[in-house]
Amino acid sequence: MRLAALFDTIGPYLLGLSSHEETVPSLFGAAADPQHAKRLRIYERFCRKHRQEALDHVFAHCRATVISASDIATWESLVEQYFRCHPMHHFELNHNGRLFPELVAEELAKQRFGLPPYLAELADFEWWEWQTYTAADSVQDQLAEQGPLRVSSSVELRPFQYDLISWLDSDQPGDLASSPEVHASVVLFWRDRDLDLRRTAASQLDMFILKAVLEAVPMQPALAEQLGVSHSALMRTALDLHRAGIVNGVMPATVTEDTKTHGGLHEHSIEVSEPVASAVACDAASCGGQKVRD
Amino acid sequence: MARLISGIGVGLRRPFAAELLKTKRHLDFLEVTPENWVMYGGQRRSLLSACMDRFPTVSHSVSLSVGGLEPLDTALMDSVATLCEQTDAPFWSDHICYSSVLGQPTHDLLPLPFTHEAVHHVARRAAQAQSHVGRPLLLENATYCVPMPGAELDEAGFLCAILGAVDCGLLLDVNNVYVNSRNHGYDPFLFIDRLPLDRVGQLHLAGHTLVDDVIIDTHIGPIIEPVWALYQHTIRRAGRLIPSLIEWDQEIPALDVVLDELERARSVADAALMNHPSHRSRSMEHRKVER
Repeated sequence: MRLAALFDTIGPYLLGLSSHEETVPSLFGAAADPQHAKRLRIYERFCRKHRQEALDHVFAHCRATVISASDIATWESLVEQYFRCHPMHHFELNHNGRLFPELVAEELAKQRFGLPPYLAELADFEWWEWQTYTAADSVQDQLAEQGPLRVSSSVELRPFQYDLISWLDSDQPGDLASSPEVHASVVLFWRDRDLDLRRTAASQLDMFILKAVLEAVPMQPALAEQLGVSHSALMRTALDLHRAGIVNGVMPATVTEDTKTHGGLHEHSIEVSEPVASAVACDAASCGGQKVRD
Repeated sequence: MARLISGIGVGLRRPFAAELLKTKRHLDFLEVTPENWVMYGGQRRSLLSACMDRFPTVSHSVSLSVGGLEPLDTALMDSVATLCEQTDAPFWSDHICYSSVLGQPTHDLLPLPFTHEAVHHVARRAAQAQSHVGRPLLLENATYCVPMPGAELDEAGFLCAILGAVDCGLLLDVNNVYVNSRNHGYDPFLFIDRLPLDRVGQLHLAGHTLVDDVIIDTHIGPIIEPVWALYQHTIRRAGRLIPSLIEWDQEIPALDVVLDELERARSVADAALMNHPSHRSRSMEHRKVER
């Protein structure tokens, strides 16, 4: 059998698009060795397992939620549906889940799979946790106390209609019987100076300051006046953002002892726990059905 | 001149990477699967950099799909090239298989038919990949649970034909030879004897798993006695310590358990080379110089 014919025959089977019964006679002939037929299933199982693994780790809470709301078969069907719509394309396994939040939103609109209404937002939230955790390093971030004020390269702001942070942090792992409350917020994702993943609900002032830093607007009293806050409150919050690693660069000399005593973002931001952080990093590997990933 | 890779090493795995940086036990080199590391910044990148600073490191990718029909993945090869540059590695490696089909990565190592067409296809693409990365490529023999139809060669003949058609080295996975010999009923020692061991740049050792009537190359250790015997045979026949690597990819134990396997490999290799003619003559030459 020529390679092109082999791949045309076995390819759809490995990708979950044709059945074992269709594939075996096309590949081995009508009198196929039963042992060959049986062992061929191993490869189909491995390939399907890798598709599942590509989403299981990055979207661990989505998976737990779907299983809790229905069953594991529903989750597996959703994953297969995803890869039919958005085929694998990247050598880094987890990267292939990029469009999963979109697929979930589409399936919610079609009211298929019996998905909970917040699942698309949860998928988006988990994707951005992973994106932030793995984002490429920036030399500029390493010079945290030098140069003009600038926003850390890992910072991402995402709007959500559900209070996912409170919900995720209040539940025990796996206990997702409750639902997140409807509460619109903007979540700030970033990596701190120890490279830990963090996320918190961003305040209006946080966002104004980030905008000012992006536009190189000086932290002057005029800015505070424009924002309707005291200059010391502006500087305290700016210092909190700097300490948290959200903003880098030389802070203006006007920061006073009073502003330095503020607790800062560390008190209300969440450092993602190690199990979560490691769960989002599924290694891809592939010797015989396992991912070589660590 | 590239950094030397010699002795016995381990595959870098995330669960014990941090511990590796603290161990006082000796290992000679690391092997990194770029797919699992190079796309990451943050803590994982920091860990990789620290490991690469401490140990000689080689790249061992799993996604080249040298036997596939899709164009070779330029982004992957660029990543491998960057990793090779950062580590100053003397070679890099991937598998004789396909891992993409109909334009989609499968993230598995899938068997090719042992045909002349596949030999020339693999040889042409291996040369292309080697040229793109700019460093010598070692091709690894893979396992196969079921032979693909239309074989014109046996497995050893297939490997030899590829090595005859392209200027690449062989990464000989000793465990894979054992697994295939059991699954397909041949003598693994005679198989090794048919290979051009002077072309072998690295060896792999690993555990595996018996599932029903078939052995799966799971890289779950420990390495079993028949594989150690085959390793000893390979080293003795080669007459040199080919750089050897312990792979442990699932159910990963504490680092010390993996390093125990590494020490076992060292002692098996030493035993294989003890009284070997090539080593005896080297010892005599050494004594002569001393006088």
